[in-house]
Amino acid sequence: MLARTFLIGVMALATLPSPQVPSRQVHSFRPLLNTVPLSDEISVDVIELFEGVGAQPPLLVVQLGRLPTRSGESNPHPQPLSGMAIQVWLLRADGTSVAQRQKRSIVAPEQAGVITETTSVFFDDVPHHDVAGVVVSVDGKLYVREIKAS
Amino acid sequence: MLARLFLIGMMALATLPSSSSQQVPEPPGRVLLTAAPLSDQITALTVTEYSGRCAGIKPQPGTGDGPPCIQVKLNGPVWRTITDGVSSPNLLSVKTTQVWLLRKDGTAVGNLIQPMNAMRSGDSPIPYGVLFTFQPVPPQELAGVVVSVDGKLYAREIKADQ
Repeated sequence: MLARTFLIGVMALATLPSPQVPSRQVHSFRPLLNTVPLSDEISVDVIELFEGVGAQPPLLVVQLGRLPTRSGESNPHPQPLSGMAIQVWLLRADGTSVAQRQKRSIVAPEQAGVITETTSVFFDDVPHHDVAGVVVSVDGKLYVREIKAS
Repeated sequence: MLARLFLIGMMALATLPSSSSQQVPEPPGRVLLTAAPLSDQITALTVTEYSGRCAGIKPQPGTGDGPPCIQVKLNGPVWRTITDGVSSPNLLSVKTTQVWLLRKDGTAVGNLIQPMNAMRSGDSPIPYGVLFTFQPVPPQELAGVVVSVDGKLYAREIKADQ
Protein backbone atom coordinates (compact mmCIF):
# COMPACT_ATOMS: atom_id res chain seq x y z
CA MET A 1 0.00 0.00 0.00
CA LEU A 2 2.79 2.44 0.87
CA ALA A 3 4.54 1.64 -2.38
CA ARG A 4 1.36 2.40 -4.26
CA THR A 5 0.95 5.72 -2.44
CA PHE A 6 4.56 6.61 -3.20
CA LEU A 7 3.98 5.74 -6.84
CA ILE A 8 0.92 7.97 -6.87
CA GLY A 9 3.00 10.80 -5.47
CA VAL A 10 5.67 10.40 -8.09
CA MET A 11 3.10 10.20 -10.85
CA ALA A 12 1.33 13.26 -9.49
CA LEU A 13 4.51 15.31 -9.34
CA ALA A 14 5.52 14.15 -12.79
CA THR A 15 2.38 15.73 -14.18
CA LEU A 16 3.09 19.14 -12.69
CA PRO A 17 4.68 21.72 -14.96
CA SER A 18 8.22 22.75 -14.05
CA PRO A 19 7.61 26.39 -12.99
CA GLN A 20 5.54 25.28 -10.02
CA VAL A 21 7.55 22.28 -8.91
CA PRO A 22 11.15 22.60 -10.00
CA SER A 23 12.62 19.71 -8.08
CA ARG A 24 10.04 17.00 -8.90
CA GLN A 25 11.47 14.78 -6.19
CA VAL A 26 9.30 13.34 -3.50
CA HIS A 27 11.05 13.65 -0.17
CA SER A 28 8.30 12.18 1.93
CA PHE A 29 4.58 11.76 1.91
CA ARG A 30 1.70 11.25 4.29
CA PRO A 31 -1.44 9.42 3.16
CA LEU A 32 -4.63 11.02 4.46
CA LEU A 33 -7.00 8.74 2.59
CA ASN A 34 -5.91 5.43 1.10
CA THR A 35 -7.64 4.17 -2.02
CA VAL A 36 -11.20 4.59 -0.82
CA PRO A 37 -13.88 3.58 -3.34
CA LEU A 38 -16.16 6.40 -4.44
CA SER A 39 -18.23 4.26 -6.72
CA ASP A 40 -17.99 0.96 -8.54
CA GLU A 41 -15.70 2.64 -11.05
CA ILE A 42 -13.60 5.22 -9.21
CA SER A 43 -11.44 5.30 -6.10
CA VAL A 44 -9.77 8.22 -4.36
CA ASP A 45 -6.46 8.79 -2.60
CA VAL A 46 -5.53 11.93 -0.68
CA ILE A 47 -1.87 12.42 0.14
CA GLU A 48 0.38 15.16 1.41
CA LEU A 49 3.62 15.41 -0.53
CA PHE A 50 6.85 16.95 0.67
CA GLU A 51 9.51 17.67 -1.90
CA GLY A 52 13.21 17.36 -1.35
CA VAL A 53 15.28 20.06 -2.98
CA GLY A 54 14.15 23.64 -3.24
CA ALA A 55 12.12 23.95 -0.05
CA GLN A 56 8.89 24.05 -1.99
CA PRO A 57 5.77 24.15 0.15
CA PRO A 58 4.13 20.78 0.49
CA LEU A 59 1.20 19.83 -1.68
CA LEU A 60 -2.07 18.13 -1.02
CA VAL A 61 -2.96 15.83 -3.87
CA VAL A 62 -6.29 14.18 -4.55
CA GLN A 63 -5.86 11.37 -7.00
CA LEU A 64 -8.79 9.65 -8.65
CA GLY A 65 -8.21 6.22 -10.09
CA ARG A 66 -10.25 4.41 -12.71
CA LEU A 67 -10.79 0.71 -12.59
CA PRO A 68 -8.05 -0.90 -14.62
CA THR A 69 -8.92 -1.81 -18.16
CA ARG A 70 -7.22 -4.85 -19.67
CA SER A 71 -6.23 -4.49 -23.24
CA GLY A 72 -8.11 -6.77 -25.55
CA GLU A 73 -11.14 -6.94 -23.29
CA SER A 74 -14.37 -5.41 -24.32
CA ASN A 75 -14.46 -2.27 -22.20
CA PRO A 76 -17.37 -2.34 -19.78
CA HIS A 77 -16.72 1.30 -18.93
CA PRO A 78 -16.56 3.09 -22.24
CA GLN A 79 -16.15 6.56 -20.79
CA PRO A 80 -12.61 7.39 -19.62
CA LEU A 81 -11.91 9.66 -16.65
CA SER A 82 -10.77 12.33 -19.04
CA GLY A 83 -14.19 12.28 -20.63
CA MET A 84 -16.02 12.86 -17.36
CA ALA A 85 -16.85 16.22 -15.84
CA ILE A 86 -14.81 16.01 -12.64
CA GLN A 87 -14.48 18.55 -9.88
CA VAL A 88 -12.88 18.13 -6.46
CA TRP A 89 -13.20 20.06 -3.21
CA LEU A 90 -11.11 19.62 -0.08
CA LEU A 91 -13.19 20.72 2.87
CA ARG A 92 -11.71 22.56 5.82
CA ALA A 93 -13.26 22.10 9.23
CA ASP A 94 -13.99 25.84 9.47
CA GLY A 95 -16.50 25.72 6.60
CA THR A 96 -14.12 26.91 3.88
CA SER A 97 -12.33 24.87 1.23
CA VAL A 98 -8.66 24.49 0.35
CA ALA A 99 -7.50 26.50 -2.64
CA GLN A 100 -7.05 24.41 -5.76
CA ARG A 101 -3.94 24.73 -7.91
CA GLN A 102 -4.60 22.65 -10.97
CA LYS A 103 -5.94 19.42 -12.34
CA ARG A 104 -4.13 16.95 -14.56
CA SER A 105 -5.20 13.70 -16.14
CA ILE A 106 -2.81 11.04 -17.30
CA VAL A 107 -3.06 7.60 -18.78
CA ALA A 108 -0.23 5.38 -17.62
CA PRO A 109 1.45 3.17 -20.19
CA GLU A 110 0.19 -0.35 -20.45
CA GLN A 111 1.88 -2.71 -18.02
CA ALA A 112 1.11 -6.40 -17.96
CA GLY A 113 -1.88 -5.75 -20.14
CA VAL A 114 -3.37 -3.23 -17.73
CA ILE A 115 -3.94 0.42 -18.55
CA THR A 116 -4.26 2.70 -15.53
CA GLU A 117 -5.88 6.08 -15.84
CA THR A 118 -5.71 8.70 -13.10
CA THR A 119 -6.69 12.29 -12.53
CA SER A 120 -4.74 14.35 -10.00
CA VAL A 121 -5.95 17.56 -8.43
CA PHE A 122 -3.41 19.68 -6.55
CA PHE A 123 -4.21 21.89 -3.58
CA ASP A 124 -2.38 24.26 -1.31
CA ASP A 125 -1.15 22.57 1.79
CA VAL A 126 -2.98 23.16 5.04
CA PRO A 127 -2.52 21.48 8.41
CA HIS A 128 -3.91 18.03 7.85
CA HIS A 129 -6.02 18.19 11.00
CA ASP A 130 -7.88 21.10 9.35
CA VAL A 131 -9.04 18.93 6.47
CA ALA A 132 -12.48 17.49 7.20
CA GLY A 133 -13.18 15.67 3.98
CA VAL A 134 -13.01 15.40 0.22
CA VAL A 135 -15.89 15.88 -2.19
CA VAL A 136 -15.76 14.65 -5.76
CA SER A 137 -18.29 15.53 -8.44
CA VAL A 138 -18.44 13.10 -11.35
CA ASP A 139 -20.79 14.21 -14.10
CA GLY A 140 -22.78 16.17 -11.54
CA LYS A 141 -23.06 13.42 -8.96
CA LEU A 142 -21.44 14.16 -5.61
CA TYR A 143 -19.39 11.74 -3.54
CA VAL A 144 -18.07 12.71 -0.12
CA ARG A 145 -15.60 10.97 2.16
CA GLU A 146 -14.45 11.98 5.62
CA ILE A 147 -10.79 12.52 6.41
CA LYS A 148 -9.99 11.78 10.02
CA ALA A 149 -7.25 13.77 11.70
CA SER A 150 -4.60 11.41 12.95
CA MET B 1 -38.97 8.22 33.59
CA LEU B 2 -39.54 7.36 29.94
CA ALA B 3 -43.21 8.13 30.29
CA ARG B 4 -42.36 11.52 31.75
CA LEU B 5 -39.99 12.31 28.91
CA PHE B 6 -42.60 11.25 26.39
CA LEU B 7 -45.18 13.44 28.07
CA ILE B 8 -42.79 16.39 28.06
CA GLY B 9 -42.10 15.82 24.39
CA MET B 10 -45.76 15.69 23.54
CA MET B 11 -46.37 18.89 25.50
CA ALA B 12 -43.54 20.56 23.63
CA LEU B 13 -44.98 19.56 20.29
CA ALA B 14 -48.40 20.74 21.34
CA THR B 15 -47.05 24.17 22.15
CA LEU B 16 -45.30 24.57 18.80
CA PRO B 17 -46.72 27.51 16.92
CA SER B 18 -47.32 26.92 13.27
CA SER B 19 -45.01 28.66 10.86
CA SER B 20 -47.87 30.88 9.77
CA SER B 21 -48.17 32.31 13.25
CA GLN B 22 -44.64 33.66 13.37
CA GLN B 23 -44.62 37.31 14.23
CA VAL B 24 -42.31 38.45 11.45
CA PRO B 25 -43.21 37.15 8.01
CA GLU B 26 -40.32 35.63 6.14
CA PRO B 27 -39.34 37.33 2.89
CA PRO B 28 -40.08 35.37 -0.27
CA GLY B 29 -37.30 33.08 -1.31
CA ARG B 30 -36.59 30.62 -4.09
CA VAL B 31 -36.05 27.10 -2.87
CA LEU B 32 -33.05 25.56 -4.60
CA LEU B 33 -33.05 22.24 -2.80
CA THR B 34 -35.21 20.30 -0.39
CA ALA B 35 -33.79 17.01 0.72
CA ALA B 36 -35.30 14.06 2.51
CA PRO B 37 -33.94 13.26 5.97
CA LEU B 38 -30.18 12.83 5.90
CA SER B 39 -30.06 11.00 9.22
CA ASP B 40 -31.89 10.66 12.50
CA GLN B 41 -30.45 14.01 13.49
CA ILE B 42 -31.26 15.88 10.27
CA THR B 43 -34.91 15.51 9.43
CA ALA B 44 -34.89 18.08 6.64
CA LEU B 45 -32.45 20.12 4.57
CA THR B 46 -33.51 23.22 2.67
CA VAL B 47 -31.41 25.55 0.53
CA THR B 48 -33.11 28.85 -0.26
CA GLU B 49 -32.02 31.85 -2.30
CA TYR B 50 -33.15 35.23 -1.02
CA SER B 51 -32.58 37.86 -3.67
CA GLY B 52 -34.32 40.66 -1.79
CA ARG B 53 -33.77 40.22 1.90
CA CYS B 54 -32.29 37.40 3.83
CA ALA B 55 -34.63 35.66 6.24
CA GLY B 56 -33.76 36.33 9.84
CA ILE B 57 -31.71 39.44 9.10
CA LYS B 58 -33.08 42.87 9.86
CA PRO B 59 -33.75 44.97 6.76
CA GLN B 60 -31.61 48.01 6.16
CA PRO B 61 -33.18 51.11 7.73
CA GLY B 62 -35.51 52.99 5.43
CA THR B 63 -35.40 50.55 2.57
CA GLY B 64 -37.02 47.38 3.78
CA ASP B 65 -34.37 45.54 1.86
CA GLY B 66 -31.48 43.75 3.33
CA PRO B 67 -28.57 41.78 2.14
CA PRO B 68 -29.44 39.00 -0.28
CA CYS B 69 -28.10 35.61 0.65
CA ILE B 70 -28.39 31.89 0.32
CA GLN B 71 -29.50 30.06 3.42
CA VAL B 72 -29.14 26.43 4.34
CA LYS B 73 -31.57 25.31 7.00
CA LEU B 74 -31.20 22.01 8.80
CA ASN B 75 -34.11 20.74 10.81
CA GLY B 76 -33.64 18.35 13.66
CA PRO B 77 -36.05 16.43 15.82
CA VAL B 78 -37.96 18.54 18.32
CA TRP B 79 -39.30 16.67 21.27
CA ARG B 80 -38.12 18.55 24.32
CA THR B 81 -38.52 22.13 25.47
CA ILE B 82 -35.37 23.99 26.32
CA THR B 83 -36.92 25.07 29.59
CA ASP B 84 -36.68 21.52 30.86
CA GLY B 85 -33.07 22.20 31.59
CA VAL B 86 -32.14 18.93 29.97
CA SER B 87 -30.95 19.08 26.42
CA SER B 88 -31.88 16.38 23.97
CA PRO B 89 -28.88 14.34 22.86
CA ASN B 90 -30.15 14.52 19.28
CA LEU B 91 -30.53 18.27 19.17
CA LEU B 92 -28.73 19.96 16.28
CA SER B 93 -26.31 22.66 17.31
CA VAL B 94 -23.98 25.02 15.50
CA LYS B 95 -21.24 23.64 17.72
CA THR B 96 -21.44 20.20 16.16
CA THR B 97 -22.66 21.13 12.69
CA GLN B 98 -20.86 22.51 9.65
CA VAL B 99 -22.11 23.28 6.17
CA TRP B 100 -20.23 23.87 2.92
CA LEU B 101 -21.91 25.35 -0.13
CA LEU B 102 -19.92 24.17 -3.14
CA ARG B 103 -19.38 26.14 -6.34
CA LYS B 104 -18.81 24.40 -9.63
CA ASP B 105 -15.40 26.07 -9.96
CA GLY B 106 -14.01 24.06 -7.05
CA THR B 107 -14.38 26.74 -4.37
CA ALA B 108 -16.82 27.07 -1.49
CA VAL B 109 -19.14 30.00 -0.84
CA GLY B 110 -18.22 32.14 2.15
CA ASN B 111 -20.45 32.69 5.14
CA LEU B 112 -22.32 35.99 5.28
CA ILE B 113 -22.95 35.78 9.01
CA GLN B 114 -22.23 33.29 11.74
CA PRO B 115 -24.47 30.21 11.83
CA MET B 116 -27.40 30.39 14.19
CA ASN B 117 -29.51 27.97 16.13
CA ALA B 118 -33.00 28.25 14.66
CA MET B 119 -35.71 28.82 17.22
CA ARG B 120 -39.45 28.70 16.92
CA SER B 121 -41.02 31.81 18.39
CA GLY B 122 -43.42 31.59 21.27
CA ASP B 123 -43.54 31.99 25.00
CA SER B 124 -40.86 29.35 25.34
CA PRO B 125 -38.59 29.48 22.29
CA ILE B 126 -37.88 25.99 21.05
CA PRO B 127 -34.78 25.11 19.05
CA TYR B 128 -35.58 23.11 15.97
CA GLY B 129 -32.45 23.26 13.86
CA VAL B 130 -29.56 25.36 12.60
CA LEU B 131 -29.33 28.06 9.97
CA PHE B 132 -26.26 28.77 7.85
CA THR B 133 -26.25 32.01 5.84
CA PHE B 134 -23.97 32.36 2.83
CA GLN B 135 -23.02 35.18 0.51
CA PRO B 136 -25.25 35.45 -2.55
CA VAL B 137 -24.04 33.72 -5.69
CA PRO B 138 -25.90 32.88 -8.90
CA PRO B 139 -27.68 29.56 -8.21
CA GLN B 140 -26.48 28.12 -11.51
CA GLU B 141 -22.92 28.34 -10.14
CA LEU B 142 -23.74 25.99 -7.25
CA ALA B 143 -22.77 22.33 -7.43
CA GLY B 144 -24.06 21.10 -4.10
CA VAL B 145 -24.14 21.28 -0.34
CA VAL B 146 -22.23 19.22 2.20
CA VAL B 147 -23.32 18.86 5.80
CA SER B 148 -21.23 17.61 8.70
CA VAL B 149 -22.91 16.53 11.91
CA ASP B 150 -20.67 15.14 14.62
CA GLY B 151 -18.00 14.51 12.00
CA LYS B 152 -20.18 12.54 9.60
CA LEU B 153 -20.52 14.02 6.11
CA TYR B 154 -23.54 14.14 3.83
CA ALA B 155 -23.60 15.60 0.30
CA ARG B 156 -26.49 16.58 -1.92
CA GLU B 157 -26.41 18.01 -5.43
CA ILE B 158 -28.04 21.32 -6.29
CA LYS B 159 -29.46 21.50 -9.77
CA ALA B 160 -30.50 25.06 -10.41
CA ASP B 161 -29.51 25.68 -14.00
CA GLN B 162 -32.41 27.95 -14.76
